[in-house]
Amino acid sequence: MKKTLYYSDRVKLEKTFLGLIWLISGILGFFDGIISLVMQAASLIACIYTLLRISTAKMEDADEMAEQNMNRAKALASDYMQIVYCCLAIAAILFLRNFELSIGLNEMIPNITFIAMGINQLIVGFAFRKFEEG
Amino acid sequence: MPTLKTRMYEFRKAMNLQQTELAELVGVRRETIGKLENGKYNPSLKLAMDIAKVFGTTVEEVFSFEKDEV
Repeated sequence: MKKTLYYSDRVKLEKTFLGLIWLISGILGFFDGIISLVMQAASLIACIYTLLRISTAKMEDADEMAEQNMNRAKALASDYMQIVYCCLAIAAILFLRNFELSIGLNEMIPNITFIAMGINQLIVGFAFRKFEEG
Repeated sequence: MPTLKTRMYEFRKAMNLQQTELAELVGVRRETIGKLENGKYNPSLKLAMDIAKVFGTTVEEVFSFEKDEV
């Protein structure tokens, strides 16, 4: 008999754990070398394993309180991410306007996307937990 | 803001129901029943009516709002 995966555990895996993996993968992407590559591969395996576990498990359905808490958590994450983006934009305008930067956007964008996704998912995961604990 | 007062615990004990059993009867998680009993979650009208139905009473008997003293 399949063990039921409780909704709060699902959120922990889907948001907190995977968020951490996205974040680590994004940070590791800035480093060259075999160790970084091995760690990125390990992150990918952990990510696939988690997604498989979630998709094959018997899951508890979300009820109205869980849905409300998830919506609140997503709204909070969205607000925090907007603040972070605003701060980054202001910092770029104030401090980087006198510099001519030469960065490889093709390498930067995927890593930054992973980091932003990771941070967003982590905030959702932690906020949901906080709301559930009341 | 008015505070939610609930007599759910009282009714549940009178019916000798566990939180898990009540949760199954009304189709929510056990955590939600716990939060409702502690007055930390305002239920939807549907959930409030489902709970009252299980207890064989009215919504007003189970849930009420108490105005905060200023």
